Amino acid sequence: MAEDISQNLAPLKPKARFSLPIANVAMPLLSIVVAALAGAVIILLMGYDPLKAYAALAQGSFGNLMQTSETVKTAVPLLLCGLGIAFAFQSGAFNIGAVGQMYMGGLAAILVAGQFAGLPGWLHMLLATLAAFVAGGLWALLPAFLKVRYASNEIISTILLNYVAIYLVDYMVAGPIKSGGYGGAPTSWPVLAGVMYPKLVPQTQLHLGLIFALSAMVILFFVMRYTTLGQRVRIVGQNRVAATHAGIRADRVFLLAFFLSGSLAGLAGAAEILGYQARLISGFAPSTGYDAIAVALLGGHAPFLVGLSALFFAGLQTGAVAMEAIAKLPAQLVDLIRVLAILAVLAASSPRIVEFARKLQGEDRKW
Amino acid sequence: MVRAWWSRGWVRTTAILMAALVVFWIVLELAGEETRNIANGIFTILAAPEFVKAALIAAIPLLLAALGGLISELSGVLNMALEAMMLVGAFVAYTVADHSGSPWIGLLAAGLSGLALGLVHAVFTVTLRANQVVSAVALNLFAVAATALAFRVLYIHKTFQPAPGFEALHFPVLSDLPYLGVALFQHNILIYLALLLIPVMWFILYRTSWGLTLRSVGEHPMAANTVGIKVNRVRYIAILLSGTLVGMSGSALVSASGINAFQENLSAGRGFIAFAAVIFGRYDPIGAFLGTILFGLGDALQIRLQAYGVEVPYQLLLMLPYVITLLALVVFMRNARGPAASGTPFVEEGAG
Repeated sequence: MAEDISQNLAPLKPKARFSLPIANVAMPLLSIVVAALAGAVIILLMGYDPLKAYAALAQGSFGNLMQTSETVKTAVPLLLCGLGIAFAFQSGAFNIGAVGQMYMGGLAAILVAGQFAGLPGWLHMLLATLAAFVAGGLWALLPAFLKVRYASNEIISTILLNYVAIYLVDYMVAGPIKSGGYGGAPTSWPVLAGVMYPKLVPQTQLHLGLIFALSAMVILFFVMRYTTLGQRVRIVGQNRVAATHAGIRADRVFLLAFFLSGSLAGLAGAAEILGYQARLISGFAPSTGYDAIAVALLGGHAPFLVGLSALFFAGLQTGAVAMEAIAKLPAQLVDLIRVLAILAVLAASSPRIVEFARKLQGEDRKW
Repeated sequence: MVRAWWSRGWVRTTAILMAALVVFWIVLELAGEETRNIANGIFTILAAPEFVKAALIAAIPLLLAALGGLISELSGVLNMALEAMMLVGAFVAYTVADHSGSPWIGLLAAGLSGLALGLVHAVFTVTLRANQVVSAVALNLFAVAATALAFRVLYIHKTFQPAPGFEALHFPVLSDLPYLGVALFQHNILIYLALLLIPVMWFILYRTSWGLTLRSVGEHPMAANTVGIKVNRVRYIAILLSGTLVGMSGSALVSASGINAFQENLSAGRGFIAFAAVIFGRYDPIGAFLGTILFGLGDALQIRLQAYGVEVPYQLLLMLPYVITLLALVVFMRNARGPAASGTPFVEEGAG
């Protein structure tokens, strides 16, 4: 139907003289500009200086090498979760449970990394990472199983499981794996010495988790593009019935896709704990799993673009810290500006706007 | 289609609850003296009229949210932004009631704030045809940040104060009945209005032509369009109505807090539970009510167990409503079917 529309309208518009990729590049950029303007208005209304705030944002995100490394570090869990969500999306289901899967990954990582002293460091590290991978995967497998077996709506069950995972972590760090002698927020026992991910570059925050995330990105790209698994996942996502008729065991592919999706989020949890935080803290990544939905969306569910968009949202996050510290904006105001960016991305990627952009461009090729 | 009596939700609910009770009783028989004492305490809790009262109070915000969610859902637009509308509604209800001195003005303002959020959701999902789930996720993040920010700005320098709330009513004779009086007839007006909304909603959805229009838009928008129904306009109206109701549920949430006060992230996932209640209530106002009552019972039990000092960590008790909801989804979802066009935007032929 959409095709008919473009064919009907194509003759009305002369061909564009220049072929700026309006739909893919200009629209997202424009939407971010609009979000920035809206943010500026809000900042102004709250009685702060938007120019100063945005200067701090730029300075804090990519202002110097130190801050850039901080941003790249922040991008790691976003990228891993975003890739997971994108992968699940290809199989035709929404995984909103990255928060919970990441929490379970973090929990599994600290359970392994905080005990069993005496194992060789690299093996210990690997086992902790593997535990996080499996834990995240299983936490995603549960709603996928409920969907396949009982037709339970996966959107709602993944969200409910987020809350369960959050409370489980709260319980664990306040009880069974509580560390002694700390005031303030409950924290778990620390990661044992030698189990933390090694730093890639001394004096920066870049750690082994970045390698995991980048590998996941490349592997996912190859899986989706060149393997039968990728093809099966896509077919199942596009048409379950057709997939079944083509001899694909749709349920099995779906379960596998969800498991891997959760594993990637679990890996993000491990990257947070073993790469950076060194212990499990109650509420250690409250919004990463939700932001990752926007990351996947902005990246159009294509692995490399998801990487770029993870970097963008990470920049917003690290820049936000600077906005708070330098421009003295309240943290919630900064959160609000991030949400504006998400809404802008959503608008820019919506079919209506994309169609509009294509029309503007006078493009009549099939899409 | 006439459903067999045993496949009806409430029959199943009762059967499962009774089975659970039997299992519980057997476990108790096998357990020791100390456990039996605790169990006695729990039975005392359950038998008190205050328990039913608390369950009903806890269920009402969810009921309003679920009824709101139902309207939107039936029109074919997923409204997972229930959580956002509820939270913003709660904040607005509290703030406006606090400043104006009237809970009624607070309720009205909460409805309007929900309407505003509904409008945003509608622009994104109906006009722009953006992904309905992502739009809701973004709105939920927005609600958490915006209410936290506004709450800090407005109340940071003030000492904590409850806002004026709805007074508990007192009916002659009824309120003085043993057990039932406390359990059912000493609530505030909001609770009775919400309960009244169940049959009203049922009538509108199943006995008026607008209800039929709404459901046809959710079921087969193309067919509805062919007979001259403006699909997207109906959806807009549905989402706006939905937002208004859900915003008002925030007012009920503030009043259910017992102290008429707001705190950051007051809704804490209740919007999602309401969303689930719509589903396992089989897209029906009465089913949604039963679903929210299930949550209310769980919540009331959880709070009382905490207060009773049962040696279960409170974090695990807090988990209970979500686990119950998840189980309910699994148990009641079989054969349940939502509107066919749920989640898919409608593109009119030739428009674009």
